[in-house]
Amino acid sequence: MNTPPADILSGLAKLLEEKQEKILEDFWRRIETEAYFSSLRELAGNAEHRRGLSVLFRLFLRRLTNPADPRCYSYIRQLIADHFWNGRKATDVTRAQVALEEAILEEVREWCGEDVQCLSECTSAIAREMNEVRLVISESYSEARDQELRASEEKYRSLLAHASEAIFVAELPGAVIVEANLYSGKLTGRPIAETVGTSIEHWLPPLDNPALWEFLSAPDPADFFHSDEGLLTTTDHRQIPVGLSASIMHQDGNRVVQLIVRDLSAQRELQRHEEEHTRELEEQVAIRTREVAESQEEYRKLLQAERSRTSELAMLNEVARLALEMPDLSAFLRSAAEALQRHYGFYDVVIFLLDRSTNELVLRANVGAYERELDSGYRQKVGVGMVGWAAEQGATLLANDVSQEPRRILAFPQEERSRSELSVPIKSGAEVLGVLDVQSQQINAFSEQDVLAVETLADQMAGAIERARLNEETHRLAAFNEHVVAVLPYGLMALDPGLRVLRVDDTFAKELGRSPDEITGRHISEVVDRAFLDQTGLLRRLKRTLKTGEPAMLNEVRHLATEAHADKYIDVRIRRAGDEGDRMTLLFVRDVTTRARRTYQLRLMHQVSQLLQQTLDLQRLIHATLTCVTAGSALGLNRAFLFLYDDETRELRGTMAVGPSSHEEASRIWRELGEKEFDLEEIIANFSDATMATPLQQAVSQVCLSLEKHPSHLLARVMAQRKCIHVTDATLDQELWDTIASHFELRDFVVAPLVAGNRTLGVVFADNKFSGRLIEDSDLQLLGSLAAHAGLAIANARAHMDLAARVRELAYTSRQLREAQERVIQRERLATIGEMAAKVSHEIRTPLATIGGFARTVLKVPEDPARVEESARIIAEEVARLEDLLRDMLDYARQPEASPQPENVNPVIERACLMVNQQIADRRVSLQLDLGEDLPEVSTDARQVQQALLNIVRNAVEAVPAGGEVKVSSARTPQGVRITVADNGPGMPPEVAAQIFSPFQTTKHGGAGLGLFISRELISQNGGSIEVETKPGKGTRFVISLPFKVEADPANSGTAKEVREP
Amino acid sequence: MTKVLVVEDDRNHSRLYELELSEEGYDVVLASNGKEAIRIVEETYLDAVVLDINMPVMDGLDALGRILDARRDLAVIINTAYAHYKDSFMSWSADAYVVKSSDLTELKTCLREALAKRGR
Repeated sequence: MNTPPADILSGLAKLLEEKQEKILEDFWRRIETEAYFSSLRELAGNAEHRRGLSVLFRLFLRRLTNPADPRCYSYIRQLIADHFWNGRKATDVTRAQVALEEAILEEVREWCGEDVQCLSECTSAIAREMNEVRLVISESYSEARDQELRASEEKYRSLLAHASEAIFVAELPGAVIVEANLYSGKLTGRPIAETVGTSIEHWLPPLDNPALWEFLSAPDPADFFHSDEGLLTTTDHRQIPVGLSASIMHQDGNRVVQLIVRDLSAQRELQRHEEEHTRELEEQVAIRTREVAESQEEYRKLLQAERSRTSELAMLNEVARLALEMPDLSAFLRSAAEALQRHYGFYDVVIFLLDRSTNELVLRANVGAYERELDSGYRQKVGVGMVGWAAEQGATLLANDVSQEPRRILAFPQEERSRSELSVPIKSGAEVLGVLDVQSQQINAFSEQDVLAVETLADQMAGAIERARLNEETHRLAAFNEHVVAVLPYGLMALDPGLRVLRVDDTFAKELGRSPDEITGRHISEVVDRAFLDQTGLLRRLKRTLKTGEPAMLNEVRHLATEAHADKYIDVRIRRAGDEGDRMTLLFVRDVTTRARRTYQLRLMHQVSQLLQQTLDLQRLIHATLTCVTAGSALGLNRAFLFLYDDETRELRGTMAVGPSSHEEASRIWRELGEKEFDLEEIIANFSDATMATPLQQAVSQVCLSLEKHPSHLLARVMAQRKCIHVTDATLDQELWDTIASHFELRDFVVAPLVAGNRTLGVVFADNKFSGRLIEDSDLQLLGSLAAHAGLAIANARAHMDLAARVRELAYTSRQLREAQERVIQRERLATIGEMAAKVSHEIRTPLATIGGFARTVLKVPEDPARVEESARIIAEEVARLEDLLRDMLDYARQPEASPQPENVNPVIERACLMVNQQIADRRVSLQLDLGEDLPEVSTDARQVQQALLNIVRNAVEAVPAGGEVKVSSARTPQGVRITVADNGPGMPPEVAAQIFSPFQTTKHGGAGLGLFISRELISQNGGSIEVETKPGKGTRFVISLPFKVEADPANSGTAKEVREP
Repeated sequence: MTKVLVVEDDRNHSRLYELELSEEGYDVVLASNGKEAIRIVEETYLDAVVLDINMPVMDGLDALGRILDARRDLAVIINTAYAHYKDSFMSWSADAYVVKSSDLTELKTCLREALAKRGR
């Protein structure tokens, strides 16, 4: 097989790692064929086998040293040629060398391990061999470098060849050309062959640029030269503009110049074209401009003529019109001056009016040159200057050349420029009202006709000024009256004796929702709502006041237009005015809704907070809250919504809404409200499910907002920031509109958080959808305050509900717990019984084994009397022990139910002690009784206590050695009675004492270990307890405590019964 | 003479072992609880221990660990009325586990085998 398998490289890596020398040997045999090696090279050259390449290197390097195999040099050389040079840079080869050396060293280290001699031998061998390898590598390296150099040279040449500039390289000094590119021939028309070897100066004499020649022939030229001014003459005598760049370079100690000649002719041509084109354009534009200017001039002249024809008439006309139209004198004067200035193009027009009180002329209008210089209000004495003269004399003064006019004074700097001036008095009859003064910058500017025109104008002005003055006075008075009426908080209506409206002011008319004109002339009953008249008896009151002259008043009554303003309140004042025969009744109304509502709100708020705190039914409470928001004139909002926050789902749920669902319903409700007083208590009392069956309620209960999904929702913000917000246009908040507002058509509304302590329970919001009354700041405050009350009340109600639920839950849990406890106790009992059965069977095993063992002994050695006797004795003992065990067990099983009765324990103790008399005598033990006197009776089952006591006393008697002492005493304690059994026996170590009450724990021989267990059971059934105090060598003391009364323990008695009745 | 310690809290039962094992030719030493047994093991050279488990002061399983700590090569036969201690891994370190019976044949056999294993 001459081709290696595809995975041979990874296989080889594995062989190398595992040092499978024998298989590697086989590999070396195969590699002897050149074809096999070629295939390997191909595999290693594949990009997927990059690591394979290093495997081969390692393999060959290893073979170089072990055993020395000269073929490897050539293999390595080929591999380097293949993969470290092919298409790479020389630096890669040096990197490869370093890598190789590292690889070899690693290989050697691995090979020699810790064998120092092997290492030194290998290292010297490698040093030898590495020279060979280095040679191989350096060959590859120089080859790589050569190729790189060749490549860069080629690149340079191709650059030269394809340049669009003529490039010469010449040696200095002398500038003999050593190289010239193709383009240089093209540019000059000479073959390149001729070029090389000649001096630039010689070759390019037609190049007209002395600076270049200077640069080139300088003994020590600068490094760089550039000029765009060259002119090259070609062989066919064309002159080409060229750019020249020369740079000096140093090459192998020689100075070389590189000269670049760039053909600029195309560029110049383009420039020339552009310039020409621009010039042409400019000429055309100039011609057009001239034409336009000429035609404009002509037009202007025509226009001028036309204008002057019409100006005079138009001006007079305009001023006349202004005089009629403009009631304000100042505005008229200014407009007149403007018209005059505009029509004549005067330099300046000034109008003065005479102030009689000071005999001064006051500047009232100024148009033209001084316009910006002057504030109106400038004053000039009558008699001073041309204007003063005209006013004094009441005659026109014309100065056609002001320099010749002695009366002229210069009031303003600009006046210096005027050459002619005309001052015309404004007269009404003989009275001078003021002066009209016009100025021009030309001498002789005013013709006779102009003077006439200005005088006419002055006359017209006089009339207008007179009218305006009158008008102004009237207006001033009227405005004063209006102002006085307007600042009064009352609306006013005057009625004639027939109760027809004589006059009504805007305020009053607005309250009625009509214009004053609509009302004037009508009968009072036609303009005021019937309901209002009926409720207030207004007609009667008006008539009385008219008759008697006594004023009357109505405070905080419902609005005149009851239907339209159900939520408004007014004060009404009635007075009589005028003289006999011209009587009238004055009716003043004042909107006191705000004040009335405030008072009402405060009163209500107090009532609400009290009522809310008393109401524990959540539904009723919420309904009452919302009713407060909507009904009556409390907040007087139309609709109210309440959303409660669900902590678990983090949602705001629509809980309740109160309010009409249509305009019709709204007005019906308001009518009803108008008829009866709002009574919150009644509303709370009348609340029922039917109250909730409204369309609005249906709608609200279907709206739910997840605050998790809408963390920056307006309502989320209200919840989080706990502040009230007034939303003036909900449609502007897309999120709010989509989620909440659109469901209820909420636009302008207020929101308040329901706050209780540090929690926010939900939100309340309300609007005025039907009345359209604007929501005010006070509404917001009130809603906030109401919501705070409601929040507390809701928290209260919730707490109450929670408490009720908790109580139910607790009762349930308690029942469950008791049942569970009973089950546990029963299970424990059963477990105890099971445990006991197991223990009993094992307790029996030891005595049985003993009995059997000794019985066998008797059988085995019947002739040994001593053994037989001992065996018989032990058998008897063990049988007695089994009988004891049986007795104890039966005692325990037979325990009857405790039937406690008031008992004195002393007789019980005495009886128990009597029963151990025999043992006392047998064991020569003394038993002493120390019974307390006048012991209280305790509620116990005497028989059970006696049994318990007997076991303990018997134990004590058996524990003490012969001559020992047992003391039984009784005493009164605060809780009941204490019985103590103390002995002076050996005592017990703590580990034994700890086990003493467990069944089958015995230290004494022959006991079943049930006695104390049973005693404890009996005492605890009687509500008492047993404790033991003992120490080795110090005797033992049992203390039995019995309480006065057994506490009822149904669980205990129940299970005890089950155990006792098989 | 092979020395055997019988650890047994029941006086009559240990008397039975004393008689029976002496008859077999063993030198019988008695202990009535684990603590006593450990003291004897530490003070006396023994060949084997017959160990009851349910005893006051220190039970047999506790004692077993300490006995083997003191004498690793000691043959130990657990002899108890309770079969369920077999489940306790402590008991696995004993040579045998024999439930109490009036017939001491099994106990004697186990004792003999345990000693034979040790070449005694």
